[in-house]
Amino acid sequence: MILLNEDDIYRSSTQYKFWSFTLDSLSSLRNTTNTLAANGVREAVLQQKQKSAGVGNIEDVTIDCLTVEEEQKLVGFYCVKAMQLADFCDFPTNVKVRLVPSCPFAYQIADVSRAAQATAVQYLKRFYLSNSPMTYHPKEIMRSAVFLSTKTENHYTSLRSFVAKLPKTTADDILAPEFLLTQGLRFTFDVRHPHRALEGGFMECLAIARGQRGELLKNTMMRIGSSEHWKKGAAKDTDQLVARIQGAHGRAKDTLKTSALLTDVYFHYTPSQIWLSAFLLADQPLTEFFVESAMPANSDMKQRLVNVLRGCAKMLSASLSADPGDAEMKELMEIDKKLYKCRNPEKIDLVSMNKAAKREGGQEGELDEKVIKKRKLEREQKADDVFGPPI
Amino acid sequence: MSKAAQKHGGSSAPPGQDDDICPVCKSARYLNPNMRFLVNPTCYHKMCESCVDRIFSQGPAPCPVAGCGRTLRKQRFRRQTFEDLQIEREVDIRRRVSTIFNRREEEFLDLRNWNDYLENVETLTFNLLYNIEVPETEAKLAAYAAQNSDSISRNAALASAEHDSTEAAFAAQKQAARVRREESLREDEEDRQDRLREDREAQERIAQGSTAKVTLKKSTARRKDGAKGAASSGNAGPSAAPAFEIQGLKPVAAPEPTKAYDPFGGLRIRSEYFAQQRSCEHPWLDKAKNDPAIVTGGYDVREYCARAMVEAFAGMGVFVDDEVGTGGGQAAATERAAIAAGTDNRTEDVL
Repeated sequence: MILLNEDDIYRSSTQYKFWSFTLDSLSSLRNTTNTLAANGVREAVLQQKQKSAGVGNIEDVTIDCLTVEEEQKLVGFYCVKAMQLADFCDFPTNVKVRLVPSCPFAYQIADVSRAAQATAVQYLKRFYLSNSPMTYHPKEIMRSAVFLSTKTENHYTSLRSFVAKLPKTTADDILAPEFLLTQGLRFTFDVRHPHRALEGGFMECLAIARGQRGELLKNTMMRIGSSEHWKKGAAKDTDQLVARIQGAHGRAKDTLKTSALLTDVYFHYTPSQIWLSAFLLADQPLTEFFVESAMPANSDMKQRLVNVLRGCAKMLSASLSADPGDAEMKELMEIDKKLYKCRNPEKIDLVSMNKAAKREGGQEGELDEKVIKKRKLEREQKADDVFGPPI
Repeated sequence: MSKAAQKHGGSSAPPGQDDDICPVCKSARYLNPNMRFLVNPTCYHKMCESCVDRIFSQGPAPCPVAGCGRTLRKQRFRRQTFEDLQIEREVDIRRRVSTIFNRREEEFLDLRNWNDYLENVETLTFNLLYNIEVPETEAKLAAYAAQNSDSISRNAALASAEHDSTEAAFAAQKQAARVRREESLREDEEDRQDRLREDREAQERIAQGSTAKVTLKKSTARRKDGAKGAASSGNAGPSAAPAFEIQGLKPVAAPEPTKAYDPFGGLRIRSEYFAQQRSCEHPWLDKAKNDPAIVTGGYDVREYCARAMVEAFAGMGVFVDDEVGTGGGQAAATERAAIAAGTDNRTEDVL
C-alpha cells in the first residue's frame, strides 16, 4: 500500500509537471520564445519582399521587434481584457450554487464563472510562454481562450450566443485559433486555482475559531494581536474572531481574483501557497498561526514555507492594476503600433490558415471537384496499403 | 439391425440371448419363446430367468452349474451386455478398479510418475482378471481405498461434474439444432404463405382490371433476411445459443475467493496537514445543505468540503523553486509525480 499525502496529489497534476518554473527558467523561456519569434518575423518579411520585388532586389530589412517586457505588458493587458470579456459575457461573478447544464442531476457548488475567467487568463499566460504576440495577436487568442475556458470549466455557452456578444466577430474567428491554443497549452486543460483552496482554508479557520479543533488552538487564536487590517488587537470573543477571519477571507478573495491572475504566481507557486500568501497580505499574524497549526509538530518546513509565502506575497502586491490608467494606456497604444509593424505576415490570417490545415483546404468552390475526387482516391489507396507507400 | 446381419443368421436379440437351450434346465426357446438368460457377476454362468426364480427365490444358493458351486444371490443376476462373457467380466473388474484408482494426470508432477501409476493399476487389474494372487490384490485394493478415500471422492465428484457438463453441452447442442430446424421449417411455411397471398392478390388485381401500381416481388433472399431479423428480435432466447460447442475442455479449478474491490489499487491518502473532519461550516453552504435541488440529486455538501480542504493543503509543502530548478530535485519530483500519476484521476474523483 502506498500512502499519498496532499503534496503528492498536487505533484500528480499537469500544472506541476508542465507549468511550474523557477524565476530563471521562466525568463529564459520567454527570452527564447521572443528571439525565435523575432527571427521568424524577419524571415517571413524578407521572403515576402523577395516575392513582391523579384529576385536581385533584396535589401536587408531591419525590423524593430517587440522586447520581452513589451510582450509581457501586452499580454497582461489582454489578460485584463479577457477578465472584462468574461464579466461582460454575463458569466456571473457572484458565488452561488449552479446547476451544471450537461448533467441535470449533478449539482456543483463552485464559482464556475470565476473559474472560467481565471482559467482563460491562465490559458493566455501559458500560451504566450511558447508563442509570441508577434506571431499570434493576443486579441484573437484571447477570445478563443475565453471560449475554451467556458468549455473546460463546465460553463457551457453556445458559440452562437458567444459570438453574438462580440462586435465584428464570426464563429470562425473564435474557432480558428482554438487548435493552436490547445497545442500551445500542450493539451493540458486543467488549471489548479487557489479559489476553492481558499474556501477550504477559510472553513478550517472557522472550525478552529469555533473550538472544533480543540480549545487550546482556539485560545491561541484568540490571543493573536493586531495586524495591518485588524486594529482591534486580540479578539474578545468568538464572534469577533469570526469577523476577523471573514474580513481576511474577503480581502484574500479579492487578491486572488485580480493580482493572482495577472502575475506569474501560478508558474512559481502552488495553489495552496498562493491562497496562503493572499491570506498573508490580508492578515499576517493570523496566517502565520494557521501555518503553524497545520504543519506537523517537528517540521522545519514552517520557516521555509513562510519565506516562500513572503516571496509570493511580494509578487502578488507588485501586480499590474486591473484598471490601466491613462499613462499605461498610452504606453500600450505605442506597443500596439509597434506590433503592427513587426507582425509575422504569414500568421495574420488565422481563419484561412485553419482552413488550409483542414482536409479539403480552402473555401468551397475554390477547388474543383476533380481535385477533390483525386485526393479522395489517393486517400483511399493509402488506406488500402497497410504498410504505407514504398520508401 | 441391418438386413446383412439377418442374412448371416444373426437375430436382433440382445447378446447372450441367441442360445436356444438353458444350460441348467435344458428347456428350449422353442417351448418358451419369452425365455431370457441372466448371468451373475460372481461366476458368470448363464441360466434362464425361470431357473433363477426357481433356485434362488428362497435365498442364496450354490450355482447349479456342475463344478462351480459358488453361492449366488438372486439380487445380483442381470442381463449381460457383451456377447463374450470374458469381456463382460473384464469390464466389470475394470470398472470396479477404476472407481478406486481414479487419480488424474494433473495430480502428478510429471509424465513419468503418471505412467508408473498407470502401470501399477494395470498390473492389479491383470492379476484380478487372470486370477493371479487374488487375495493379496484384493487386500491391496481395500487398503488403497481406505487410505485415499478423500481423493477418491474428490475425483469422483470432479468426474461426475465433467460428465454433467458434457451432457449439458450435448443437450444444448441438440436443443439449438432443434430450434434451427423448427425455424427453418417455419420460414419455409411463411415463405409459402407469402407466395400464395401474393399470387392471390395478383389474381384479384387482374380480375378487377385495376391499374394499381405493380409492386415488385421481394426476392426470396430478401424476404428471408427480413423474416430472420424479425425472428431474432422476437425470440432472442434459444436462437441466441452459440452455433457450436467446444467439447472436452479442461475443467478449471475453482478460483480463489475474490477480494473486496479496491478502487484505488492499494493507494491511500494520508492527510498530513489537517485532521479530516467531515462537518465543515461555511456561510455559503448553510442554504445548500437543505436545498432540495441539491440534496435530492444525492449531492452531499460534505463532498465539497472535503475537496476544498484537500485543495487548501495540496502542494503546501511543494517548493517549486527547489524541486523544478535543480536537476536532482526535478528527478525526484518526476519520480514522485510518477507514483502519484498512476492514480491521478482516481484520487481526484474521491476528493
